[in-house]
Amino acid sequence: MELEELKSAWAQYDKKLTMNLKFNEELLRKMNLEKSKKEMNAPLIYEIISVTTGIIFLAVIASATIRYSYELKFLLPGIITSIIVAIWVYNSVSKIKLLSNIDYYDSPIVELQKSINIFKLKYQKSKRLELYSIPAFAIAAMPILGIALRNFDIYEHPIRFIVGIVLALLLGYPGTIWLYKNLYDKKIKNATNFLEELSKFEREE
Amino acid sequence: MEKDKFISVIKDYQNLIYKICCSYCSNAENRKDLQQEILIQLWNSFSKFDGRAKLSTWIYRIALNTAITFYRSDSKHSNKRVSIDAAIISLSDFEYVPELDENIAMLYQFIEKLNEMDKALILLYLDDNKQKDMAEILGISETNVATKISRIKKFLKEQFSNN
Repeated sequence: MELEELKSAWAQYDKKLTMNLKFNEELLRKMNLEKSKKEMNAPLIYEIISVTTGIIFLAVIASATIRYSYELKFLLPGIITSIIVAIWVYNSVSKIKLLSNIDYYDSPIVELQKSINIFKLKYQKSKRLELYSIPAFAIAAMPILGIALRNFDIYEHPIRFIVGIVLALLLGYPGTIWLYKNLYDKKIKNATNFLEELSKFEREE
Repeated sequence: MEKDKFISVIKDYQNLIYKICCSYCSNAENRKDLQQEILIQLWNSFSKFDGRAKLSTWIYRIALNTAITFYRSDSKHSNKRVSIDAAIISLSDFEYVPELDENIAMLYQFIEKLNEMDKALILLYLDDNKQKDMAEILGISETNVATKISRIKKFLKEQFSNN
């Protein structure tokens, strides 16, 4: 079949659709469209909550670190914990920035799809960083949070501290690696592949 | 009222939405979900439409972008934000025209084999859009559109001759 014939068959099909498509107006009204408008920014709201919580937590950790800065055994874990939380906050801020720059309503298809997939890639990669830093965070946070919140010096209970470290390392890392492989690895590959396809599509061949 | 105006626009462009859903989803259940997702996205952006672009360009952009995102999504059902059992745009008793319907059914099968960006391009071409409009909707140059159209035409011709 020639392409011009195909185009005219498609035009006939379009006419047929015009005569036969049923539009259910009531169903569209039932969809509660106003509500869906509010749901639009859910990922943005999630990231804003993450940043707010992160900043509050960072303030707690930083003030505890300053309070106990005269003892290296608290100062060092305090600094490490603060750095990890600061990285999490920074990640969320850059995701908010990326999300705010996506123009869903006035972008050509290639541009919008690129922005969406760059965001997806950034999101999955930051999840990887967050997951991998959880065990390190748990180990570093134990001494500083213990002393700051419960006046409990974990160094005076070495067995508990060692058990905590061993649990974080033995369960934490295999767990996060497994989670990452199963939840995010494939998604990163998909987003990367699609970005490559989009670049190829943009090129004139 | 904004909602009435929106409904009237959807009525005018229901064919376009229907064809996009059929091209991106062969599964009826997913097709219904995609249709709802497109309608939600169109509604969410309806108040932002300022008339700088043509209404059809705006609808194509949003509907095709939603279809591509839906098609690429890691979990299609996560997009289900409202639970409506039936499709809003559906086909009533279709009068069967053997030759036409067979060709269209075959065409949908071949479109299914294309990647999501080429699907968008061929839909725009079949709907008789000008090369300039296609370039504007997709965000690529007119020369690029022409090159790709000729490649897809060749592919479709081969598919039809093999069947």
